[in-house]
Amino acid sequence: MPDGNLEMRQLRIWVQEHAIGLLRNPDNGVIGVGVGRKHAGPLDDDSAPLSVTAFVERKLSQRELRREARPDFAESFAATAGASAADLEMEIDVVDAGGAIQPLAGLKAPSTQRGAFGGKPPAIDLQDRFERLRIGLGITNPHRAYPNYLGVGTAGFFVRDEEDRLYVVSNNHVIADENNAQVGDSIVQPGTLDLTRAELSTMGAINQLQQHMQIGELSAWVDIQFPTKRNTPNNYVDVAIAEIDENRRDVSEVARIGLGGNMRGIRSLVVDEVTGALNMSPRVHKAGRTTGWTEGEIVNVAVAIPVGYGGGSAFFVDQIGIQPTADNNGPFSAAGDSGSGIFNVDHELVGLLFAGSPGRTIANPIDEVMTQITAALGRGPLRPA
Amino acid sequence: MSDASPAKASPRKALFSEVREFLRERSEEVRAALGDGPAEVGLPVDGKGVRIKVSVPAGQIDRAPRELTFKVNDDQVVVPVEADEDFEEAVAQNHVAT
Repeated sequence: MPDGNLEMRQLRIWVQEHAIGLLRNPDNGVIGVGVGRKHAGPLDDDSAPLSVTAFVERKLSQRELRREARPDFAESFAATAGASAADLEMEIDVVDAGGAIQPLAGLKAPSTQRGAFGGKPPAIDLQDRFERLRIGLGITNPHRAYPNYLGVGTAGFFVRDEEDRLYVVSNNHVIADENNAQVGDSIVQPGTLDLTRAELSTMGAINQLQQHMQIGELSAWVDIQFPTKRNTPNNYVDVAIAEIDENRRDVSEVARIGLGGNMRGIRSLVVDEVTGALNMSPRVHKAGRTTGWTEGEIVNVAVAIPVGYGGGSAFFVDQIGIQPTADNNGPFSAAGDSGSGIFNVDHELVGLLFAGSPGRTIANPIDEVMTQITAALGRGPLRPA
Repeated sequence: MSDASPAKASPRKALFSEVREFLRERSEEVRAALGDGPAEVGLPVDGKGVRIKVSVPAGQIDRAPRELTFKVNDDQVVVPVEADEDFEEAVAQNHVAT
């Protein structure tokens, strides 16, 4: 749009020529100048005109301006360019900066107070609602529960079948209700446990939830086998899969390179027969709904362990055991992270997170996950997407 | 009848894949060797040799044998057991509330 670009250039030239004059005028309160959209809208929103934007510590009302005998901003602005307000051919906008603009000072404290000065949580909140699904977000199968019971797990990773249909993979206990689900069940994002009170109030019925929050439909799962009086069966995976629309997945570069989006395939764990050493770095990471981005180390494999579920305890074998590295300020995983994909340092998928304790996370090995969910889905080989 | 038992004469050292297969497919023998009570078993991948790591609750370390032997085809193999009283109960990590 040539006209728009010309106007932008003209405004930028004006700012370059007159910004110093504006900033040096003690009467107008201007602390910064730039070019933007009127009313601080996004730059690509053509519905708002381009304007010279002046930042002030606090926007004064007309009454305050009169009381303090400050000049009208447009007049002050125009005078900088040797003109009157009536002669101004551009839009001007005054934005309240909320305070002085100053550099962000580093934080210093005695080493004895290490850890005492925490910061705000990360700006990307995996419990929020996202327009498009990416790895690490909270998801739920709300059927047979909502609104009386609220739950959440994590979207682990994406795969495609032979016909290029797109799926998200998580745990059976997250989206298949510990074997009690039905194919076609809605999967929603964010998880129902992360809905605000307002959202719970306006979407009190499951059909309303489906209408506004559905991102896919449950396609298949592998049953969790619980013990009977006669037998304690071995479980190898806790996995389920849901088909999603192409346009519901975020494939932007931000999603691909961050939060585990850009998967470089899968990697089976191989261990030296004599030394027992892993054939790759044991360092892993994941993005999950509760603990976000965390880093850990694979400390053992072939783990056999009972795991507690709502429906009882199930026995798992051949699992991966992970501990958090010292760089984390908490556990590698916690409740709500179930379903997270676990990646190695080369961003290859190595496991599917499903259980844990305060000091330990348990994951299914990815080769077993892919073998069993492929068989359960019955639509040919699945490949990472 | 289980052939997982305390060491007998001249078994060879078990290879990693053999112990992994044993834990995967014959876990009931391992549970029998450990006796009653919860436990987690696994194979450390720190490169310090193939061995079984057993985690039991506090005060139960005597449940774990010092090593296990089992048959692989016609071979008797042995694997050392390392035990710690650091068992933590594992639970599925979804989050549910009413």
